[in-house]
Amino acid sequence: MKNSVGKRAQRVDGLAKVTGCAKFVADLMPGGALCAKILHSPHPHAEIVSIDTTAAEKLPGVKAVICGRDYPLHTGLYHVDQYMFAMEKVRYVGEPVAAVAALDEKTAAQAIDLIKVRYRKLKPNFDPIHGMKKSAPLIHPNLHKYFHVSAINPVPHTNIANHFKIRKGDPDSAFKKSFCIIENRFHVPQIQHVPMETHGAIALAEQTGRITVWSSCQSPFTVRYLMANCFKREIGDIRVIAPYVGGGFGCKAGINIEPITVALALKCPGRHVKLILTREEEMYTVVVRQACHIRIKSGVDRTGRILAQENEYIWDCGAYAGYGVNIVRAAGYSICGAYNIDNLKGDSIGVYTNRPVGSAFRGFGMSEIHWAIEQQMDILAHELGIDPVEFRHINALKPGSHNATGELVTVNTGNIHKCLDQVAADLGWGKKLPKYRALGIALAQKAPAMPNNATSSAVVKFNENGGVELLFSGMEIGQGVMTAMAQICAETLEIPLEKVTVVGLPDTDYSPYEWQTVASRLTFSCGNAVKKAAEDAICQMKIISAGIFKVRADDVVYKNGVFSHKNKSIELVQICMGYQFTDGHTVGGAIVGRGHFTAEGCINCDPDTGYSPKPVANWTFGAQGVDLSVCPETGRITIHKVSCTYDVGKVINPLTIEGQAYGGIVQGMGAGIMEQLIVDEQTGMVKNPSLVDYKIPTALDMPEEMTASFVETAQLDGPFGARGVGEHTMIPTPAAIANAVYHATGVRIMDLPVTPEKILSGMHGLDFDSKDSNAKPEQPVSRSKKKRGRPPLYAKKWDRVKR
Amino acid sequence: MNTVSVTFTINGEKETRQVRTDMTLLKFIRETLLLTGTKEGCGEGECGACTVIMNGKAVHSCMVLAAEIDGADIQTVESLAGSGELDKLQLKFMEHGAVQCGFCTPGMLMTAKALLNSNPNPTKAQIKEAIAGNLCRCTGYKQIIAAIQDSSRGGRK
Amino acid sequence: MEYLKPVSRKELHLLLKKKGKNLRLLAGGTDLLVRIRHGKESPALIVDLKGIRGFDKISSNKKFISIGPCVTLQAIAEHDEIRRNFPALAEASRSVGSWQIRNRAPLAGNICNASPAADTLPVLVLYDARVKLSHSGRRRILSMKRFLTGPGKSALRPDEYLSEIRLPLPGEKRVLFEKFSRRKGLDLSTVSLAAGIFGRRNRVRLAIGACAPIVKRQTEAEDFLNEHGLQDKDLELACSLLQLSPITDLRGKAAFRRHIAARLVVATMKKLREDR
Repeated sequence: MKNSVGKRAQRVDGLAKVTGCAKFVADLMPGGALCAKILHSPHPHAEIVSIDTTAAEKLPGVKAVICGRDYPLHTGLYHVDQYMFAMEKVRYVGEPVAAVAALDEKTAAQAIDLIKVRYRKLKPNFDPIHGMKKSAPLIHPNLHKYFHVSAINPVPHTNIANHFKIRKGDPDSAFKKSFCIIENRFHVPQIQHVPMETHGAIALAEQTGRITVWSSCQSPFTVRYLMANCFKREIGDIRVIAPYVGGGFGCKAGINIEPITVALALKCPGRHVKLILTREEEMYTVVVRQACHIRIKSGVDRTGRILAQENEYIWDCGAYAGYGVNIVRAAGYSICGAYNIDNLKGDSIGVYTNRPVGSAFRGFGMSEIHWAIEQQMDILAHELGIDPVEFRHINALKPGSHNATGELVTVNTGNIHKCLDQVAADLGWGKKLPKYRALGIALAQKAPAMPNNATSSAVVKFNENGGVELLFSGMEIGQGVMTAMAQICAETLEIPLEKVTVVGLPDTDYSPYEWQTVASRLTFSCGNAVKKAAEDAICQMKIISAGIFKVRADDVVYKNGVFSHKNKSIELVQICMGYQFTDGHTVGGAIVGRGHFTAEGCINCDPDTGYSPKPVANWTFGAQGVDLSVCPETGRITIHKVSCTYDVGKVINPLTIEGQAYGGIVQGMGAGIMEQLIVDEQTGMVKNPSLVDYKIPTALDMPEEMTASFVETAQLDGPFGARGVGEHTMIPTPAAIANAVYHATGVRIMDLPVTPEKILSGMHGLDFDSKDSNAKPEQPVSRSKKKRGRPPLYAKKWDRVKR
Repeated sequence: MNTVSVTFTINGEKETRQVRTDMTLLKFIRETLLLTGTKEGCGEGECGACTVIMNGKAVHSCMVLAAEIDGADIQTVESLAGSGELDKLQLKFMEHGAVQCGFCTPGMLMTAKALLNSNPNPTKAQIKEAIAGNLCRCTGYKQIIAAIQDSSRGGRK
Repeated sequence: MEYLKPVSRKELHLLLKKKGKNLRLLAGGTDLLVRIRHGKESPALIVDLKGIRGFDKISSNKKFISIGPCVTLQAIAEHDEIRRNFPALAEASRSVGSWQIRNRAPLAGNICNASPAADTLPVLVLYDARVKLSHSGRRRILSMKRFLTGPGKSALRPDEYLSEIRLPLPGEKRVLFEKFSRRKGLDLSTVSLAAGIFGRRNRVRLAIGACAPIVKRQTEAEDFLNEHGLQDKDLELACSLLQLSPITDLRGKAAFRRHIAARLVVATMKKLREDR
């Protein structure tokens, strides 16, 4: 019964969620649980002179007070640069300094107020470009001593946490041959994930030495592994249970608040310690998306072919870069987006600053760099008088071209040109529109940014009725992994979808291993593991049937739940629990299939040139287009339509993939026109740490219309040809909006987000920053006049050298 | 610690309880009544995850004191399938893919329920206006709006 | 924190008299509960007004429509008589917060908070609304101008409460409410505006919110427009007469607010002049 993959199946977790039965961490209420609270640093950069916890400890109802000296332990995934609590110094406002566990919330809050910390303020730095200079204060003086994985290249005795280089071809001579050279700078601010569920964790330390953690996390096994390292325990001493997660978008990847709850629990054995972050804490004390300063210089010939390009990404990693260094790497090997450029100089540099910690965010660096790449492509097209769609067709990767790291693109890599044409058609590209209304388009490419050894596993367990329980540890964070895995399992086993019971929600004691639920990698990686587990089960049953049929296993055919050889056949249900002959003797037994998957042949990039014949497991390409209008009076944007097309290899579930597309578009739109975490550069405080002043789109803000369509160029090693798309859906949106705004108004906004203020500044030459009470028209600032620094709100001209 | 006695109806059942005067209705529902379907997303009336129906109206339970519910009729997400049969909204949410992570879903359903109770045939614009106070970070709202529209009297059966 | 819910005006008057300074009145709670959560306030006593009969009623006589202190913004937005006579008030009420907030928050709360960005204030100012402030054995009726004394400040004394909002009849249909905010749903105003053409003499009235410490009529611009008319050039000139002193905050820079206020004035007056 091969009809599960591609089916518009309803979510297997839907019923639990619409009835309110689905339990999230905060919904678990173990009896007598202690309430935990964190004391956060009020300074962006300061030495800790002393911490006095005595008054807090004496407060009745307080069960534990801990700070750095109690647990001088490091955590971190790729680059181990962070202590559980700030030790010698604090590096951002909001950094955990101490924590308490108390009988109730009020007492915990009072105890926090009683902890006395003396600080000696240090000069903070909020600018990564300044941070690269010798004169900048060192935020991590011991950078050279930190452990990091091999794919990361920190620069000792600087603030540079990772520097990824691409050196391909000969850009210098190619620039000389160029007909036209255009250079631009762009900026992306820090933004927040805003999962509707804030981070939460519950820890229990028993006298047996066993530690159990319930956590709202994307990566239970990684949490367990890092925690074992951090607390110097055997991995088997730690059990991580992950209930439903109320949205991740990257902020619950790796390890976050879990060690704090464990550290407290170790001080109060036998009692659960529960920590649920407030929305304010969520906004800046855990992780945010990195900011980025971007410079792109492109040289093109008369026909519109890009001959050479320099891409420079200077990432503001914030105070710690344990995860962020890998975003720097991902931006490095994807340096020029989905384009075929033979001569490339690329630098992706991650710099420590005293801002909130930058980390994974849906798109993992791609939304940030595409903000610049896709505007640069439009600018080049405009300058050469070539249609932006046509310009992209000229330059986008196609079979035979080599991407930034030198990897060969084949017919199986994915077809970006089809995506581009589909979106252009959906939007009616070229149609006549009223004044101040225009279309904009942008491409996207992304690969799963994971270590080359990231692995997935799955178990298929048969029951008496010929159905299965499917076990894996991909986290259901809303993307629909439980449903997709069930479909892949049912399709492979050729049984009805209803016969598959998904045992999602991993428990590291019982569930098979999964590296992390990140990188849009689950459909591909976990999906392969599930498929292999199902195949393994069939293979086992073929061997048993072969014994019964007295033939070789290769001669047994399996189809639609029946094993057969010529005219002999056995139904799956007769064999999955052991086959009983008429005389009663039985062969075989309960079938358990197991499968694992690790992407094959991925090679680390060369540290000097970035070269790798296969830097990543696969690529997903796509395109997005926007139809919008701008009110010339107020600068307000109305988005009429957004269309997207992605080459996903194979659509496993149309219903859930459409959900990913629409959700990604609206999240991308939020980043594009309204979201920005604002840090006060005097105090280091985040000025908008609430949903009152950090706005995400509501139902009234969404585009009037959205369409999603998919191209299916099979991924050769993907399950049924599938590759990931969860993150990609928000990558091109901001740039597509900016391109449309340019076409509608003539204003090119290079500093995300695209706000009415910036549009009006550009359209009417108004300077809203003037101290003078009335905005006065002013000549727009040409980029060429400014040296490196923050780009202006808008630019009407760009650096251009015509040859 | 001040308490007051409140008599109220919760999901059709009448109850009397002593409640702390500083306790919000949200905390009361979750921690005293142990109805954890209702979620806390912000605690300050900005996200809508805690929406319940109070005396027929959608309200943020984080913005109501438990002390205020004396004499009130409260419905939480658990009431929708209380009769043993799923509410049409619940079915349509599943059918249209209006659920992703599920954290906003209970509040979203209760707002939708209150809307359809007061306006059985809302336009798309009315649906958007009604759910504008329910933030969803996953779905982009499109499938939620379709589900609500399909649940309305004018929607297909 | 003590919680009391008086059932009569008399009880309320007594409470205000005895404990006026330490109590906070609760109607919708959508602001008060946030303030308590953030530790900005910790009242010893909360007095819930919703138990008093008639406080949630809208009534009218020949002279005015009277709105009780517990009438919610949603009730106002949906009220037929208000929508007929004071459509811009219904519109402004509908633009406050979200549906859930409007289902709880009363108009009286929006007024008493006296926020310069309160969405209903420009409209109330335009319609010449009056507020009745009561106290045991005494009451006074103030214009909005006399009631609003500063950002977050009003003439309300600790032992008083706002017992009624009066909208003088006949109302006026030719009034528009406009709001500019960072996003379309659930947001505070960066700039709000009410503009209208009143009476048989077609007098222009204009008030702008979120651009000055106190929301009040733009009398200079009004006088200019009444004198010169509503041609495009008049509108542009009137904008230079606006009395604005906006601040720069997360919702917008001062200069941006000025610009938007002017553009909204022009756009709204253009719409209105077709009705004149």
